[in-house]
Amino acid sequence: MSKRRARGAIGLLMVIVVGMAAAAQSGAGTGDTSSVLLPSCCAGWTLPANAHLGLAPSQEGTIEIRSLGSFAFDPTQVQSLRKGIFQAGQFSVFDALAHLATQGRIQMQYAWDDTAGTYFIQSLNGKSGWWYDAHYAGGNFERPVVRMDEYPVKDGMAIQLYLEQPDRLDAIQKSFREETARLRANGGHLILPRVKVIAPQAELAFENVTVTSHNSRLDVLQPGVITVLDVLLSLGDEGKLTLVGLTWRAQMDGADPIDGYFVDRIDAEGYSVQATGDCTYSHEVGSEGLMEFLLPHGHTTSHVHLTADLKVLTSPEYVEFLWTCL
Amino acid sequence: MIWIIYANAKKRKSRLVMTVGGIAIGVATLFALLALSSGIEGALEREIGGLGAHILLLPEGCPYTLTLALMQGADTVEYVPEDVVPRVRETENVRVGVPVVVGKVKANGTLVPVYGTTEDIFQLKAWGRSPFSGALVGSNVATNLKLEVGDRLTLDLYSEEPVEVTRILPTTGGRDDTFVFVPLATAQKVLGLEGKLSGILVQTVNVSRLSQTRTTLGKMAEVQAVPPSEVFDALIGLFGSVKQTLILITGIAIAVGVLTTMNTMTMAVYERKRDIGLLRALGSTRRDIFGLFVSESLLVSLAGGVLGLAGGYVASYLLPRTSGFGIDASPHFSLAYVGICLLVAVAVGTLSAIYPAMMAARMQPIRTLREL
Repeated sequence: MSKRRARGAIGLLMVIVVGMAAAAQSGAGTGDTSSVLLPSCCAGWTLPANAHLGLAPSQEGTIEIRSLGSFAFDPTQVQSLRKGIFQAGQFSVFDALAHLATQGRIQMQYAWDDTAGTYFIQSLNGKSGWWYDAHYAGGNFERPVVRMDEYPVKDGMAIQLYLEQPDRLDAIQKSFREETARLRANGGHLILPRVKVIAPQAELAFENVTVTSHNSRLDVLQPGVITVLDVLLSLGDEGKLTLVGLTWRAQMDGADPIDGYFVDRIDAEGYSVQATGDCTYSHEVGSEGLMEFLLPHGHTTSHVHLTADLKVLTSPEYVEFLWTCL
Repeated sequence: MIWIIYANAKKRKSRLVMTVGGIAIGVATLFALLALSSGIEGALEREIGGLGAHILLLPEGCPYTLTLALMQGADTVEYVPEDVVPRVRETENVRVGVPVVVGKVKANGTLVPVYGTTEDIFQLKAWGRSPFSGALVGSNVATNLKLEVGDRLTLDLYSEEPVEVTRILPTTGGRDDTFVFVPLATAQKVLGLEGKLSGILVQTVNVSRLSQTRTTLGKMAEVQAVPPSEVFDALIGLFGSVKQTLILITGIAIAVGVLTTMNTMTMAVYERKRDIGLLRALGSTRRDIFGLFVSESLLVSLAGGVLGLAGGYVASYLLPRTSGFGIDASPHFSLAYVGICLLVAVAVGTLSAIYPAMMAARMQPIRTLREL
């Protein structure tokens, strides 16, 4: 009887060990989903270093330029113009475009605008006023207000360049300039005037939040780069949040790759909302000046697929975390 | 009785003004809410109905955003491939499938929405037939750009296309007045969208089989079939939730009006004990006293109601006219709204007067006179 029990216990143990090994195996691959709760015992409000690695773009990408056609590029040949932001092998939508210009396949003049902290296209095919839309595999075009040279490229991404309405483009550029001016006014420190966490039945609001880098994605971004996720981690540092739950998703609902952390839970004193089903927190970064350019369901920079850990921040007017059901 | 009410009002002018003001604010809020929400619903119905289609074939994406973009002539980033059109036209129960491409371009240097389509559009619009070549210009655009038939119009975005104005369209009061209608190929060239469409407007032969036709069309790759009525219901639903909040706020404003009037009338009863005693001693019945206070309250409320209607009328023009869907909506006034608001004012007057009037009617004349 005791032998049988012992065999049963060994069998159960083996099942557990094999299960854990399989889970670890899948975690190292592309199909994993694993959760992290912060603060952790050892590292506080910092994610474990290189816990998950996003894949660098490796497949041929394409950019569709309205009226000019579709242009393919080899991601292994693209160099980032923002080496202070991207790790080697990683690059932005603008880098891919600049690569096409360097190859002489498109006639594009561009320049760094110090007042806006980004590269702007001055002319493309003799026309000025270009802006872009992009989405990762499985996503939809969302009319982003993300600096083109900060939007990381991933395999299977759709990128489209078009002539933007002059008033909307002016508003976008103005918001970038205001961000840079705010950053300078704060002595180079990122201080967010407003941060909100909005769930259906509850809301958290913070003012003048100083955000510092927690180097959550050193596989893609350079050390010191501040992202939307750092807003939550900085609030945690300040003791204003008690818990943040993140889930790493390599893929989701046929969208592959995702390679990012989804914010599934935010707790503070008297506030706790945890993901259920297909719900999660998306984020919106922006300025009031952009509000009038939103269509219904439009966003300033709300993203599900451009996850908070990869959305680089300069110094926006507000960041909101919105409870979103997919 | 009127003389007594008038004399009392004259004696306590500031209180009268405040009471009338309190009621007026509630009624003004209600009137503006009714006029604006009716205006928004009407504008949405007019705009969506103005598309003239039973089914919209749109690119994949948010159908509400795409429908609004189509209505407003705003560029989107996702499109329907043009080669879908013949298959749509061959679909059973489809009477007409009109390809459309929209976007904003510079027309003689001014940004205007351009609407590229084919002459099939005449089957959906009540403009009357005419040859479809050059540019058919909406009445507002013609006025703004000072265009007449025969004038040259240069459309410029991705490429420059000169067109001749061949017709100024009749004023419709809708979005069509703001568009420049040009042949599909011209618009596609200017918008850099060769071979692409913003959508296809479908009219069916038999409307009772709309659902089956929608299912068939919806199965085509790269498109979604959406009845405009569904978009209308969804947008009205979105607006409805905002409206509910506004109704709640209005209800609170009216409840405050009831309470302030009741307070005023109760104070008036205490202050006019002597008058009530004298009236009772001179032969007035309890019913007379009750009627006196109810009438006074009703007159005050009606004055507040009339003032509120005027205030609501002005406010509905001063408040932002946009519906939040990018549609300009003028307030819509009707006699029914005037009636509703005056009824609310009367209800406020009656409700707030009942308790004080009962109090006044119950007073004993001898005791009241002795207390003074």
